[in-house]
Amino acid sequence: MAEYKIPKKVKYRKQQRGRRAGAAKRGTNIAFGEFALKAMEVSWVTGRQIEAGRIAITRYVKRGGKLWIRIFPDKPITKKPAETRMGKGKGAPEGWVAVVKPGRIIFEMEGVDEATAKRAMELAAAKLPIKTKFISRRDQEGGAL
Amino acid sequence: MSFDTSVSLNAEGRTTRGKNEARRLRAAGLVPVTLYGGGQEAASATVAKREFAALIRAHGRNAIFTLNVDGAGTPVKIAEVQLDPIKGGVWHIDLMRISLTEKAKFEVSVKIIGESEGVKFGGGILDIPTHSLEIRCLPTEVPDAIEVDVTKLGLGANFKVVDLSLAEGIEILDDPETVIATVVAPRAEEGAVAAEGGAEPEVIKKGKGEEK
Repeated sequence: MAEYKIPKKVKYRKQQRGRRAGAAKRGTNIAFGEFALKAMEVSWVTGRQIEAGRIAITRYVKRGGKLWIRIFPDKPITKKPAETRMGKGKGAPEGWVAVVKPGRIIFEMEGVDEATAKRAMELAAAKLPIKTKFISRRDQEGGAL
Repeated sequence: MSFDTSVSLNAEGRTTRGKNEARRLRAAGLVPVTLYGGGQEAASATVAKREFAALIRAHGRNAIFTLNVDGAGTPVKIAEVQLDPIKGGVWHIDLMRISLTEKAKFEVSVKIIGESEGVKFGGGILDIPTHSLEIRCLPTEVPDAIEVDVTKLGLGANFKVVDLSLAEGIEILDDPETVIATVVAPRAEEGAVAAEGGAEPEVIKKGKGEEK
């Protein structure tokens, strides 16, 4: 059923929603590739959205380039059925999301030129519910200071 | 970046501490700096953000320069730069005092040169798993970047640390078998459904029965 990656095993089926304050503390630097897409806002990004972004990138670059996905939807989301009265417990698990905070690297790419990477990331960004920024390793190593 | 006596950065000694004071400094266009190493006590200072950014742009992250703290000059290297995770501005800099006559560790970035045969004719993708290497040498001999010529790299071939030929006096501290660059075959385009995680329900690790 799931058309995207989900955890193989979980300790508990349902989670509380939690708070989403602050900026990302980890995963804020380009670690593998040359170019990356960085989140500038906070949001839950669903597994479907991540997968849509991945497909947009791979279709644009065709067979070239290498892609890394730096977020993983490991938080289960529940939903109550339609026209249900309040109460009677928490709804059934419906999907998975990744909690993305500002500064977090979402996708990384390598093996393509900057213009191609930028366009591919723009297409992927259009599938995400947040504002993002295209960055390169050069920016990270001092170019943008 | 070998040591150039003309490259210097002016700093002012700092006695204030804490996040609030650091925030005020940043708002005033300054960056808090900690200076340590060289068998001396650690010292705190501030530098102008614009001057530091100009130095990095001109000489790179591996720059070795003279830090003039209240008039007294010390050769230093950049040990760590903390950046704002969102906007990328400089939050804090760690500088390490170095001796120009003693060997020290430096992290130098890898610079890929040329287009590999595997990419040009084999349709492969150049993968660079190692973007920087740790070296030990005299501060005066630190290269700007370690150049890796990948022109002869065919499909499936690797360029390892052991294949590098560096100037005498430069010792690489990374494992000789570390792969710097490799040409990999392009993956077949994946379908809309990801290979993994296709199963619908998650497996619950700890059932109630186990807890009893």
